[in-house]
Amino acid sequence: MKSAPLAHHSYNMGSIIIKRELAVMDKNKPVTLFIQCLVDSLYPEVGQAMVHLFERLNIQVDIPLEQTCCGQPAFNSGYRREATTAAKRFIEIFESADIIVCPSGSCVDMVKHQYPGLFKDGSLWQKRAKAVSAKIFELSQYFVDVLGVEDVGASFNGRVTYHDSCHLLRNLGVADQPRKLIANVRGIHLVEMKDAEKCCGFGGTFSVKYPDISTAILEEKVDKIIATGADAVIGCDISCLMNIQGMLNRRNSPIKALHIAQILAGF
Amino acid sequence: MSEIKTEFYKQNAAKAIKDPVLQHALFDVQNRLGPATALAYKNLPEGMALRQKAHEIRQFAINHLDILLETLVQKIRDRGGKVYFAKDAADATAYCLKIAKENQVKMVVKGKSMVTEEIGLNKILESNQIEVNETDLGEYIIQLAGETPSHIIAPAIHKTRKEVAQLFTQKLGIPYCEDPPVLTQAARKALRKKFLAADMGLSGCNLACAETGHITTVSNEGNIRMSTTMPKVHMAFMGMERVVARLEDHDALFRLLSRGAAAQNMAGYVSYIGGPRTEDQLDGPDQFHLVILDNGRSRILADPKFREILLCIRCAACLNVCPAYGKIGGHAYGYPYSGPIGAVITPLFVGINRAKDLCCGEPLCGACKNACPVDIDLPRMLLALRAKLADGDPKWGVTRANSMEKIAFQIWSLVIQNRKVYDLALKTGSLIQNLLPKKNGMITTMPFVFKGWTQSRDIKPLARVSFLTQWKNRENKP
Amino acid sequence: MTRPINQEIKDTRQHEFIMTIQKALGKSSSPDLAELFGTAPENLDNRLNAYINKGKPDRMDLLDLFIEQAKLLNLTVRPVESVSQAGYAIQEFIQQTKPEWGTQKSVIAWHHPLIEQLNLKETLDHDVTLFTTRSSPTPDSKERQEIRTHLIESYIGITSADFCVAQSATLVLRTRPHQPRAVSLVPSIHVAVITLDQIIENLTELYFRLKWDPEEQKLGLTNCMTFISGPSKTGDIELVMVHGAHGPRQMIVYVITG
Repeated sequence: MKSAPLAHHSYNMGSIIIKRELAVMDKNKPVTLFIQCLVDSLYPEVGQAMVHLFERLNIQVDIPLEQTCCGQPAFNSGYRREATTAAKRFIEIFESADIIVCPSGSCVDMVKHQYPGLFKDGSLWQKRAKAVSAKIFELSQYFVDVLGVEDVGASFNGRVTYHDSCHLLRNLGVADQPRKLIANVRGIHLVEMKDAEKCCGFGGTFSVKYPDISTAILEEKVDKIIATGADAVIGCDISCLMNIQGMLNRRNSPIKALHIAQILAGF
Repeated sequence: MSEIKTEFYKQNAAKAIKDPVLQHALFDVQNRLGPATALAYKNLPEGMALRQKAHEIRQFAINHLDILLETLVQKIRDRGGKVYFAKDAADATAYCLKIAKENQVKMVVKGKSMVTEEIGLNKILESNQIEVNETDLGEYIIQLAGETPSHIIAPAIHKTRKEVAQLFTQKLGIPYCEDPPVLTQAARKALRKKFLAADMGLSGCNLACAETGHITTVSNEGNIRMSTTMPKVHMAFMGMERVVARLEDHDALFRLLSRGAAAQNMAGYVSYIGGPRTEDQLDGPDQFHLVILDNGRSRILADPKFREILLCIRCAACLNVCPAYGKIGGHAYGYPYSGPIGAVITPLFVGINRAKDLCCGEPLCGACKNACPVDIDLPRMLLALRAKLADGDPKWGVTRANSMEKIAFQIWSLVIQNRKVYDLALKTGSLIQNLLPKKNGMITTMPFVFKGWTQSRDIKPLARVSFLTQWKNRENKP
Repeated sequence: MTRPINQEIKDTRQHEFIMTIQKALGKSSSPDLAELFGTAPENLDNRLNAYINKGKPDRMDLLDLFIEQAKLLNLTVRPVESVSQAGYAIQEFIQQTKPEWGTQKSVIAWHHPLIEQLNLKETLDHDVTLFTTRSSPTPDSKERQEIRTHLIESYIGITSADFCVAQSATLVLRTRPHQPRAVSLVPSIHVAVITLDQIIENLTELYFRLKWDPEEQKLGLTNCMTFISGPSKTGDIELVMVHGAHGPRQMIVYVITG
């Protein structure tokens, strides 16, 4: 497998710290899934894939049914009060979990890095937020850094490329983990696209409020995906994939935008 | 004061996106400089950690700005230099005009200086019958073309060699030639005359050194050296935040600046200027004036959330990696500062409501923070600006930008608090989307504000059964 | 609290300006110079000695580094064994080069101990006009105008330097009497002559020496200190690198190694 592009070298600090933090965590406790609002409402097959994966690995999964949204859409648009409402609810639902896994880098970033700042310094809410921050992981991060698993027994016959989502890459430092998992998928051939680490142009409400700019950025990304000759583009954030798939479809391209959970589960 | 066109962000962005020449130029700049800068940082002996050190150096300077400026100024005055503290643009330009008139200045040569663009200096001088000659090649080109800069370091990046050739033939009368060395030579010849005949030279200041009492200027062309050596009067303009405390601070900062700006180890020319020619020296200006400018910076300084933006050293590394800038170019930002730095500082300078599209009109990808040699958290400040637009802020004079959007998110926050209500909303959405046009199972047109999505993309319809409902059914939970 | 600088605030603008800053910061900064500008490091003497007393082999390594880095900047570096060899080398160089404008070959050189030793008056061909910038203690405007005219006429400017930083191929030039700034700027070609022991490793060493070496502290930076890293250049047209913008378009450094 071709090694991760140069820009990633600076991003991998996160995993070293996580490994240390998790030495004490009990890996046999059940995993609580935060499924993400987009997966829940638009891409339930990704949720199914995740459940399937955990079952294959004999990991017990707990999915709180009251969950809705982490609050990021409100937060990115500047609506902090509304985002805080969502944050409080998230904390209440998830703080009793041992470990929280989520198939979205941007949601994990929201909980991990933005939640504490929503609350007053030293307040009880902030303490609770920090406690939850410490135990939430993105899916590929969870497998590689927490479980120490790089081969989940998956197979996929085809040529694929990988898109680095912004929050996952730059804020969480996750770049090698998905690539390691993909490398071990039997039958897969990974081709790195040019500028994999460049934004796809989603940016939340940006995509509908500044559609010309969003489209222009996306077009460049889609051109680069097509140029790899891949059958599928893989990502760890359904918002990016939704964005990319939307344009691939509009262009009548047969390329599929797949979540890493789907590749690993064999969906 | 520079002209403000921030209200036209969307229109100008759309125009830029449709301009194939500009698109090619922007792609070229980012393709060359973006990765090259990342590599240059990596190859530093200290690696990326040097950026953190630079951040601390600049933070220290900002936190002690009062005494550092006083120290700097005292030392310059001790050497016979003059210092003028300018509250705002009008104050600064008035002083420049005054000194120009006192010295019967008819013609001025100018090194590239963003701060002089900010205060609209050229126009003021020209309307007082003083000829202004931009000497940085990029600025010279756009001055001849009657345009404004589109990039902080390479102002004429949007112009092809063909366009420059046509411009030079028209304005300089030289035979048509597209070869950059030939064009550069023509500019060299034309500007040399100006350097040698100018009455006054104007420059900016890259980073002053308080400890030794010097300003510094940085260039590759030598135009700033020429402008600040040959004329009798040298006036330098400095944003008040452009200072470091200690001489050795420049070690980290110049190494990073050169890499951030143009992936160089060190810029071609760096000059420490601390005063006019001394009695026993053969050359150098007889008068040295330093204009220290506030023009909104003290207000930023007073806000702990935004103080960090004053760490900026104007290297444009953020422009070279920004996906938004890479498509819309510098003119869309409607003010001299473009790219991510422009998106933060322009609203703080001209009005957050007025420049709201600048801080809302990018995807917040974070590439800028990574590229910044001083490790400034630009995304954090963009989010802070968005928060002010969402709910208003009397301190910064911000009124809520979009009441409908606020109501929408208030409703949203009610809906997401209750799973039953949320499920009802999903069901309702499912029903409504049956009315929307589809192709191969994907929705092709969405109504209201969402049509921005479907202008170029399809979207998957809401699942008939949400994942959590499926899970609930599977687990037979009530 | 007394502020040792600015005993009388004659400048009310400054006073208001600084007050605004202090209000913004919510404090007024202490004029503790040690805190602001740092104190001498503990092992100062050792470090300085190590820097200053480098042996010839180390300096030759630095020369190699300088040559290597200079290539990237289109900067020519010529080691020569002696001062007289440098003189001949410059003479040859002048023979091989032509003025950018006009036909008359005029050359202007700093009045500087090392350049004196080149004995250019004797070495240069008769058709070359040599100007030096030796001046009276307080040169009046007539004298300065004369030098300016010579500068503009000359196609080569010859200087020495205070330091040569190998890592970035940078020459560091102070401004002094008899050593005007424009000699390294206005003529089309800049020729610099330095000695091997002037080559230091990197910018960190340079700043350390400037700050903490008592000899350098005495000199200060002067009112104008210039760092020169190669000939002038620009990439402003389509990012195509062109050597020769407004400063010298060619630069050559002779390093006397003997």
